[in-house]
Amino acid sequence: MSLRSHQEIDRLATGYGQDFTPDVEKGLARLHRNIDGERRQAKVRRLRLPHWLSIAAGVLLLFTAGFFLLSSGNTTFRNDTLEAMAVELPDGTEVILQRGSSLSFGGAYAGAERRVEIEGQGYFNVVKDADKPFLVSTGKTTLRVTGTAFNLRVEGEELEVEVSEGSIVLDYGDREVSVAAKQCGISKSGELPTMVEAPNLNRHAWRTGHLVFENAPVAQVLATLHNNWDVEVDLPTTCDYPISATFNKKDAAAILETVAKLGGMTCTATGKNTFAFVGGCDTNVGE
Amino acid sequence: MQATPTYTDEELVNRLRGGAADALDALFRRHYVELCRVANRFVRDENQAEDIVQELFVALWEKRSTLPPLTATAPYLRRSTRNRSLNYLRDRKRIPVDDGELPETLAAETGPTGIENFELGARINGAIDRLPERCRLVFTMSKVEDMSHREIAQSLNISTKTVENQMTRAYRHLRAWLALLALFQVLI
Repeated sequence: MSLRSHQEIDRLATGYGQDFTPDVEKGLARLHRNIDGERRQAKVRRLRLPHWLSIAAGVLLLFTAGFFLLSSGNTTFRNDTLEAMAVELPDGTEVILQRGSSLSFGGAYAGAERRVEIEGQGYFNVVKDADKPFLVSTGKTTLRVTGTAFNLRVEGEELEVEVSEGSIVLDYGDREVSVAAKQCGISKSGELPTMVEAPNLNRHAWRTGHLVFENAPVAQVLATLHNNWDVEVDLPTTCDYPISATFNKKDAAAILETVAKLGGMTCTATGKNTFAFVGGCDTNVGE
Repeated sequence: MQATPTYTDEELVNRLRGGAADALDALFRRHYVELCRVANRFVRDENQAEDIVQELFVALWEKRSTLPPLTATAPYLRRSTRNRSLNYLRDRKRIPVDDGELPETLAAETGPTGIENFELGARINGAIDRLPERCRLVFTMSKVEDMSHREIAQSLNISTKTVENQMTRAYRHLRAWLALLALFQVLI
């Protein structure tokens, strides 16, 4: 019978309670449920990222933005302000919501998947999570990403997504269309989505202020301006001329003025967001 | 999907302070098992131990923006877990106010088959668990949790002299238990 020393007891004692090994992933899932309400509360906040500085001044805080928490468990952001609004979703995904646009998601967001709905336009910087696809549906088309950045415009069942980083997939029934960086995916009601090149990322201009046109028909230029800033332009029907220009401003009226001048016309405001090009249309200017 | 493993605990806490939910997940994955063990050593109830650590992480999330800059995160989490465990025991009046009785004979409680079937390392669990509760807490806090006698005295609201007495008692009991165990091994 040997006498055991304090040291041996100390050594053995370090194993006390080491036989308990809880399930970490189960615990984590439970933690997520525990902090569900708090964590899933999406936020409107000031953005700090440098490349978004250009709109920082226009970004509004929670209390000034149109924000509703609906009783159905859905959260809806409506940007009723005159500026872009930054929204942070529960998973950290950041959305810059254009004025007049709304974004909503259900209480199950970030459960098995991250599904949102948007009407209007927003720039999305989606946090990478391969297990929980980020989904936006309209009509038969579903936009699916795991983590990337893109500009998305949805009007009714029309969807237009221009990718600035990574890639996305547009699912349409059992067909799918991949859209990579500097490409644009377009989906119209009842049609298979298509992909076009978008080297200049002009669809991001409402946010970046950067527009590049290379020999683009004036109608296309005006459509781009419309999609970015919701401006309507009354153009003489016979008027058609190409535009090659680079703009670095977010002032749609100033851009329109230049576009009109390139056609030998002047631009006058006829309403809050409506303009008319007047004067003789010189179809040869810009050739 | 795993939060970047290259972050240190302190960087994770910094990111958590900025509201990064994945930093909370990373800290959780890294420390959950060990913290549950710490809590379980105090409360001796695995479910309660997990509850206590869960509450700690919920509190970390809720207080994320006001978390102090931490230079030693793991010790901070351990200390928080210990405090929460002691509060749990205190709330349930499970912190003993007297010395308690030592079991009369160890063999009578354990039985020879019980001793034969477990390894020595696992058996110490049983031996420590059979210490009177105050003695068990003091011994565990000192030898497993590495707390100083002063810290233990403050936590249990007893004098350092009482801590020393309890340690002596614990050693005497555990040594007797180990001697008995050695005797069994000779007999078998």
